[in-house]
Amino acid sequence: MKSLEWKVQSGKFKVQGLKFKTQNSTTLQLKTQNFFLLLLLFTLASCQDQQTVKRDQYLAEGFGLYQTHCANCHGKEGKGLAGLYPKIDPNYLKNRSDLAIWIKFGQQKPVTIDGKTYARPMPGNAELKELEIAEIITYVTYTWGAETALYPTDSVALILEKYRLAQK
Amino acid sequence: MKNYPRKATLSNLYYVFCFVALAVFGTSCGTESDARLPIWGNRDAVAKMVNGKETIDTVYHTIPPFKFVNQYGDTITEAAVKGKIYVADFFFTSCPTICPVMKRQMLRVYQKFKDAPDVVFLSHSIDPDHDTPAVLKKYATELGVTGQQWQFLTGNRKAIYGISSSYLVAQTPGEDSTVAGGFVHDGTFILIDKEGRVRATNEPYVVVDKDGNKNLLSRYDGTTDTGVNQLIKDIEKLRKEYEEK
Repeated sequence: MKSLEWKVQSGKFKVQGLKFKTQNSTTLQLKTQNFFLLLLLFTLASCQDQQTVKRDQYLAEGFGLYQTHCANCHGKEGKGLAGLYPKIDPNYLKNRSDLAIWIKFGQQKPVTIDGKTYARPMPGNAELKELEIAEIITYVTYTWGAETALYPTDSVALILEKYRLAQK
Repeated sequence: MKNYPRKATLSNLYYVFCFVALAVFGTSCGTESDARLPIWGNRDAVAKMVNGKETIDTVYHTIPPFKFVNQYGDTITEAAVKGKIYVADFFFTSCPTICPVMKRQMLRVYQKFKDAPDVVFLSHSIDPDHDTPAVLKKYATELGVTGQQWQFLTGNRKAIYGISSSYLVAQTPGEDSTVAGGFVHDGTFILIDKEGRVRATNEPYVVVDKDGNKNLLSRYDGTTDTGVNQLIKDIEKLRKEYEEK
């Protein structure tokens, strides 16, 4: 039989080592406060899992929405179409708050990618809901940008509201 | 297991024979029916006198004469496609929906047959008020298209909408404020032979119109890889047909 010995050292959780015992008694030396620390650790771990699951949901939904609303011009693989429509460029994905406005209201300014300028205005997608926009942003920034976390729907709502107020 | 019945072995052989026979006959049949690409549209039987004998001649549906203006501002008539195989479609430059998909696919066909002297492309704008020759030229250039092989056509709106029916498209182009971009049309690519006849394989695909009605269409779906791969294959087949003549 073996027992685990846990010790709390200056607030940090540490496994001291494994102790093997020949007797039939299991001595798990666990103090109450240690137990709560363990519980907290597990809760955090499962929390992270839930975040990943939610992010993956956003990615899956975002993929479908991208194919429907963006891929016509930007291409299924985000490569654009010759000199007509630009590829999804990582430089333009750095500022995620801009993306919400572009997707919802369109983008009229010319963009320059790899030294080429694209001046055709991008139409907005007024019908897209905040959640859908968040899913698209999560998908494109994860796929072609450097992001790994989901983009929250609340952030989309906030940015769009601010933009609307500024337009008035 | 060891004492396999003799009967069963014989019947196995029989199946093998049948299978081989089927494969041989099946493929030979297939190549025969694949020899010529079907001709579409209404046809008339016309009586003709040949060497004092009356014979029946089939008159096929053909694309009527036309007169449009291309991306360079030049007048383009049926003379531009005389004796050539060509692919036609309908689009408009500001279209946010299927046109970019169609143009991406058409570009694939264009690149495949680039510089082939007998293959031409005609893209008709269904928004001629906006799509002036200058607008079309900019669009073509940005798409990477120069020269005369791919013509972007504009002109009289009625004439463009009118000619679309002779290309046997499912959706006659037209204005529709309820759709994105303001115009409706379908994503068909139409293959026309050197005699001006509509040619296509026999495999129909489903087109859903704005009322939700499903129509079967035997032309090429210019919005899908499969549809356009078939078109590329069939252009090659059609060219071969003329080589053999």
